[in-house]
Amino acid sequence: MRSMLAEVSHWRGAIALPVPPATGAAPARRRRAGNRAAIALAAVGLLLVSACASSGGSATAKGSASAGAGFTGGEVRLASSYPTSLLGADEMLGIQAYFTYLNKTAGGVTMADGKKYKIDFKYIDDGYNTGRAVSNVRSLLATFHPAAMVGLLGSANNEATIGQLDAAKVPNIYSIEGDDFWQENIASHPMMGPTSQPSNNLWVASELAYVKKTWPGAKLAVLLQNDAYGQDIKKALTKDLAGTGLTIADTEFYNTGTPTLSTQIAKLSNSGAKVFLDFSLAPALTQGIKYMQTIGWKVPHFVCYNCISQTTVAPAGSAADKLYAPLAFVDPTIPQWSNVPAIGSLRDIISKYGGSGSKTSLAGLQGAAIGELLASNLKASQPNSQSLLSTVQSQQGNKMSLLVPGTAVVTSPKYPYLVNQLRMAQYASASKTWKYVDSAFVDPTYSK
Amino acid sequence: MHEFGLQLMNGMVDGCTYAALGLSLVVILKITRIGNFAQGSQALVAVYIVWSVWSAGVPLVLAIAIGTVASFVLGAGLYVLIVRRVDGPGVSPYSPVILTLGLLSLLQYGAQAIWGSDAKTFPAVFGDHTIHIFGVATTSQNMGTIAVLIVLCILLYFFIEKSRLGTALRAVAENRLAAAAVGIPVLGILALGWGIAGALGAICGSMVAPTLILQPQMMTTVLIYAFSGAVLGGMTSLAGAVLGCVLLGLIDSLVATYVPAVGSSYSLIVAFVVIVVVLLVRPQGLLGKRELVAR
Repeated sequence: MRSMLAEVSHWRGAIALPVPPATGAAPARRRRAGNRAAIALAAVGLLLVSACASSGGSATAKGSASAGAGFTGGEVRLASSYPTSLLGADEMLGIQAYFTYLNKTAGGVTMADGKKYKIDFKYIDDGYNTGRAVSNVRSLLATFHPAAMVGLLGSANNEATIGQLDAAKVPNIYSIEGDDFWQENIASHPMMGPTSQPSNNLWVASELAYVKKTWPGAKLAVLLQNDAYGQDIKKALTKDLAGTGLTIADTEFYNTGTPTLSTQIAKLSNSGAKVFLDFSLAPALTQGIKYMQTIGWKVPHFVCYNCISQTTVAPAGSAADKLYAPLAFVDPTIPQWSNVPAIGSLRDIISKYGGSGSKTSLAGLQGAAIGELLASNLKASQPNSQSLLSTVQSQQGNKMSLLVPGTAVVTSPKYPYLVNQLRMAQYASASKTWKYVDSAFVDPTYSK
Repeated sequence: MHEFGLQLMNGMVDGCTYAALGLSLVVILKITRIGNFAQGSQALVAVYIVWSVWSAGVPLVLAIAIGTVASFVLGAGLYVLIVRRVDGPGVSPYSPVILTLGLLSLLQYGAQAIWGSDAKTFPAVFGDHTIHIFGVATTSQNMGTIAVLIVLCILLYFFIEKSRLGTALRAVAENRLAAAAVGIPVLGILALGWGIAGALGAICGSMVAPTLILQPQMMTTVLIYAFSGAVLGGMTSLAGAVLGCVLLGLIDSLVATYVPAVGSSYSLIVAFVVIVVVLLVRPQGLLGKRELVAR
């Protein structure tokens, strides 16, 4: 649904950023090498936070109504660490705008205990540096005492910080990624709530299902990023390809930041493939689309679900005609969707209640939509972190302004993603519109 | 054979993209002995200026001319106001490196703050039509870029080697004290060198922007390739910079295609191994002069 370094850079694209290898152990090693006093203070802080969270956080959605950590003084505190210096703060400001709107117009949100809570949302820049994300989360846990972390960006940052959140019993909600790691390891991370993106496995499976139905037995050309994200997709491909009758004619990789993809595309065009599954991200994706037209390679071309915005496709001009993309979310900046009443409402909220610098950009509207969904979750939840986590993990058909028609928010404790459906659409460059060409594909791995 | 032709063309075009930036790097290095890591960001800002002017309705060629002048002023201004403070005797040789790295971030993030992180549609001055050279498909813009690069090389050669101002540039590059002693305005000449490099960046950046897609990181990795290609060809030689960059593009493209064990994942490593080997044999690069290395 979003773009990072260019348009995609925001959501999925963010994974393309170069990040230092990040595990929970690496930051820990760095901490050990650092100031011992700081470590002791941080540890004490974590213990205190953990103790506080434990004292009031054992209730479920149907359990105790006593306010837990993060829900004190008539306030619910939510926090995030996000690369505002790299991507701008539109997303965070969008979330904040929605909460400001609720605080000013309704005095906050009325939770399941019948009491009203104002929402205090705080975020810190991490520059998409995993070390800084770890230290930001540590600092927020120790000083801000959030009820939940919201919108942490990228697999590396989430994997590096989930240990702290598990220990502090603070949920990680609507992180901006869709790594299959979470589905495979959800049992080990009780505080991991749904990510805001579909899983990579769902993305791959939906494309393969459509190709199997439309071009049975087709040979596939595959383009992947040469990093953990690309490997995650490759793993999903290997798994989901079994039994489809489809075969891979050639797989090419490209390194993040490679100026052009012409070498890879030219090689794929000579592989004899009849369908192109393109997992590249903008701006490389845009270059690839244009280069395909230059060399006259015309095959059904599938691109990522969050690569549909005008900043990715429009620069490719007529070369982008007939692209396929399995969609989870609409792009509210594209004219065909921008006038939908729910999106207009989000736009108004950002315009009226957004702070300095907030924008009704793609990222800004995505942020406001997350804020809107989270507010509905808070209304259904008791005022403690565990109840909030249970609520976001048990949504069966909730609405979200940016979801494509015919789909809904469906989560479960065993399925850590916001949506379990994607709907195939095709682009028409002349009208600059996307048209749905199939009904929603439901993830076969989803379970309640 | 068709695929070989395609990959040969891809290598050439990619190499020329790197060379577009490599040329301005060499100009600055020849004149001030400073490796300007901010060169890519300067070119980026210039291209954004061109885009803004063009978006306001000004014809593209005129917009490029305006951007080129602006970039000349930016380059000269950066030298006079900032870089010259760390360019001279008694200053650590690392200071200019750190300074230009700082400028790289400042200009890139400044551009992002002003123009946003979204990709912009940048028009192709030579059109985006598919053309065939010996049966190999490419675009009119790619061919136009190569032509512009060749013309710029020739003009630069005659300017630096044959003109009176060029002689002053070379004199300042050789020995600033001696140049000043014979009445050459050293600061002005150094600023001129940075200005010319800035102008080159604007022209070349405007040529490659339709292919690379205009966004804040457009020049980030191109800078690494351009530096590497220029080192391979010889940092004192304009022709060497172009040759080195084109070789880098060709090796990357052909190894990715015809050495399956390496593939596109690791083809760049092979290209850099070739650079290391060449530098072991010829430390001054393929066409570079040995005296700069001795210095």
